[in-house]
Amino acid sequence: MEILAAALGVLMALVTCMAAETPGQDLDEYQVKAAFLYNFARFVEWPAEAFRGPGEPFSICILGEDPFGRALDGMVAGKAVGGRPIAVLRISGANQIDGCHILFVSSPASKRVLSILTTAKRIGVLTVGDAGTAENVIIGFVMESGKVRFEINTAAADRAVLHISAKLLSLARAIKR
Amino acid sequence: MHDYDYVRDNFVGSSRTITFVAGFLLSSGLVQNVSGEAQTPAPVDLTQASLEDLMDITVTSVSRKEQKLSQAAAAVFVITQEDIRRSGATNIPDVLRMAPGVNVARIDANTWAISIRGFNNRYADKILVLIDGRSQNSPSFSGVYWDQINVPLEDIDRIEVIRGPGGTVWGANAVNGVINIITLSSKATQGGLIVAEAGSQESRSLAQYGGKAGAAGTWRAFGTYSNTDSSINPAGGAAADGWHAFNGGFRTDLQPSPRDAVTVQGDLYKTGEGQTLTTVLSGDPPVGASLNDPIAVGNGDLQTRWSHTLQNGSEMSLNVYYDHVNRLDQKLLEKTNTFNIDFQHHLSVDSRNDVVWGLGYRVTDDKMTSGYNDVFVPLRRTDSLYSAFVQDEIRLANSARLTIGSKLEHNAYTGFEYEPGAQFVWTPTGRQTIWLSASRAIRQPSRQNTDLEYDVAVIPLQGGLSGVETLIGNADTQSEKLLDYEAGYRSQVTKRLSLDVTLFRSYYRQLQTLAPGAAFPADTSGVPYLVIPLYEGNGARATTYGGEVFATWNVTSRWRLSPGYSLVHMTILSNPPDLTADIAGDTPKHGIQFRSTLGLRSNLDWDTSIYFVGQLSAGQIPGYTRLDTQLRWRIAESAEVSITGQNLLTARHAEFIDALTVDYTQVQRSILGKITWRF
Repeated sequence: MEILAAALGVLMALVTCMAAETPGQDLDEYQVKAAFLYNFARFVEWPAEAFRGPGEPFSICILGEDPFGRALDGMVAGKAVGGRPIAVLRISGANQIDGCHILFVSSPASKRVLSILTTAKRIGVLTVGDAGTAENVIIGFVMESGKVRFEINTAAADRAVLHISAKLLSLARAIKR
Repeated sequence: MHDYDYVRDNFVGSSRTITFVAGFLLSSGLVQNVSGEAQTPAPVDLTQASLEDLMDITVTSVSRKEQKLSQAAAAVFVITQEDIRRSGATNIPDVLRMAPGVNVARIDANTWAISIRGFNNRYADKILVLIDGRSQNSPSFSGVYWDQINVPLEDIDRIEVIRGPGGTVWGANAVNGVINIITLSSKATQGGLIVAEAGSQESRSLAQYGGKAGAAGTWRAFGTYSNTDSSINPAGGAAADGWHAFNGGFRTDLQPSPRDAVTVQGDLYKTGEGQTLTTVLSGDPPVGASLNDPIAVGNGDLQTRWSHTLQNGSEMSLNVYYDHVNRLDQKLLEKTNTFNIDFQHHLSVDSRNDVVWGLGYRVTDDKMTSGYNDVFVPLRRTDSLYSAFVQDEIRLANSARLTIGSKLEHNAYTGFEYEPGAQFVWTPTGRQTIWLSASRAIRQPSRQNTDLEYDVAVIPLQGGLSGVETLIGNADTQSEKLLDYEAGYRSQVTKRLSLDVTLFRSYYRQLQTLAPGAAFPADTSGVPYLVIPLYEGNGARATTYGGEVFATWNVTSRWRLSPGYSLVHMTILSNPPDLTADIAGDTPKHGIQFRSTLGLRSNLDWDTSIYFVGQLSAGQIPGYTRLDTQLRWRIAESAEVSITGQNLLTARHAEFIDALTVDYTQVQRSILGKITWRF
């Protein structure tokens, strides 16, 4: 009982300390992740065959659950990557993956959807997962102390013939080969 | 290795581990550090922010979280498919050797004693073993028949080994730990797979095929056959413990809608095994005997799991299974039918509270015959287990979470039981995690505690009379109870080095004991003899303390070293005349392990593991060192061959003495070749 009481006391003190931490102007996780997606488009090089023509937009596809709301659309509106306008598409199946340049799969649906990717066209599709990398997820977000970090699976990137810039690699939380 | 594993997710919410209080390790200095963490003001247009800036922004996360292993507030060790492949192991017990704190000892070729943090013996009953959420603990003795745990190693996604209690979520029996075997989705096993291995001790073959089922569904079906030769008995002669096993099964993963996932899976399992017993043949009068005895297992299970994601992001899941065990062992035929249904709901109540709650019902129906020396009274029994749990993970701050919860169960033996827990986890930096936990767990009695009459030994007495020591179950048996306190620290020390340290102190009460009673003449018309009763009771207490340390060091991108050390120190207290000999089981105080995985070339791996296990049975089983090594060559995308040597240091050694009836045999040096072909 004494141990419990002591522990409870310490806990109360802790909670008080923690509460003193000002939440401040925290941004929504997915606003920040949307900005990361935009940056991935800038720091990854796609093979020429990923685009059917010079006028084709750069497509960011969200497969399954969409955690971004309007954040992503708002952010990339009017922006361009490599001279191409950015389009945001919401897709529901593997057959719609054609034409996607970034494919975001949210968690936990990711676990189910990931294997769709194994059969999907891999070349020129940057798969981004919301729960770390996996066999077919090239970049995976991870949360650390309330901050958005990412891991990179270079083997998967190689298979997709994507060149990931050294800058992006250097910032990755972990690199899986 | 662990960076890519998530502790949550698979249905049973399994890994939503326990939790408790405690803040004693956190000095105020550290806490200051947390509150002083700088917050970068967010730029207005995030697309103008540099990557570095983005990485510095603290975000609010209201989405449900995959709990990353590095942030779990429990002593978790995850064995991945890659770890299994690189271990060269041919069975799950050998795979478990790589988890620090897990005590694995082979008794004979088909019998193991496996526990976590002590209390190890053949009938070790303080760990819970699950395969995809199906309990593998036998209702007759709470423990696990490891020869019945036969998931094809190639189909395992990962094995989560949780050291320390998990009763808050998993309920009774998750006392010293949980071993959670999780199989791969059939989506991950598409196409064909043929495995053939043969060696000096055993052979195994697997044929598997996976295909599509409808638009978004997949399936696989497999058959596997293994054969293990008899080993060497302590005297150096041939033992009679050879065995073979056939396992056939399927798994279908369907996605009827983007929000629904349904898994249906089933297995059929059959074995023929041998063992040598030194036992008593109950009769008129009972006599001691040593004999070779067959074991035959014929099991089956069928399981459906359905998870549904609601519009608001919360998840519901349902796990229903039926399990049939038909086991002939020591002449006792045991037929057990288990039906289990679990419901679970995971929701984010608000930005701070992440709640999981669930309800469960299990009914077990068993039918026994009497064995050579034992009988369950009654022979048939049907029991129900009702359970409910709730757990709230409270975000105290961005870097600190408190999880509290409890399980409430009603079992047929002791009625209501509760198993609360609380855990606190603090991630002061992205590279460090400190966690504390306190929890209560119970082991509910099983048939063997309440219903068993078991002739242990025949003892010659004066005057030509013989006495028969007989274990007698006690209908008033209480649950064994544990209060457990743990602290852990995980650190990504450098990019290449990670460290995991856990310390525990555990207080056990009402441990099962045997108390000798006054001898009485047997009720017999034949040769008179005396019954020396050993009454089951709850007469012992124990405290243990210890810890586990392990590290992963990526020396180069292709070479990884994983050293580990575990310590468990046990003190048993009991009130005479209770016998305590069996309570502690047999557990080495120290365990040391060292694994090296080395990529010699991009398609050639050389992996080695060394395990040191301390002495047992007061030196009767000397400490031993096990050395396994494997060379694996990927000839092509679709094919690989490997050659594995196991127990290379000694020609043979013993690992465990079963105190009851099964004669132990020796583990031999062995060599094994394997071909894997995918198409």
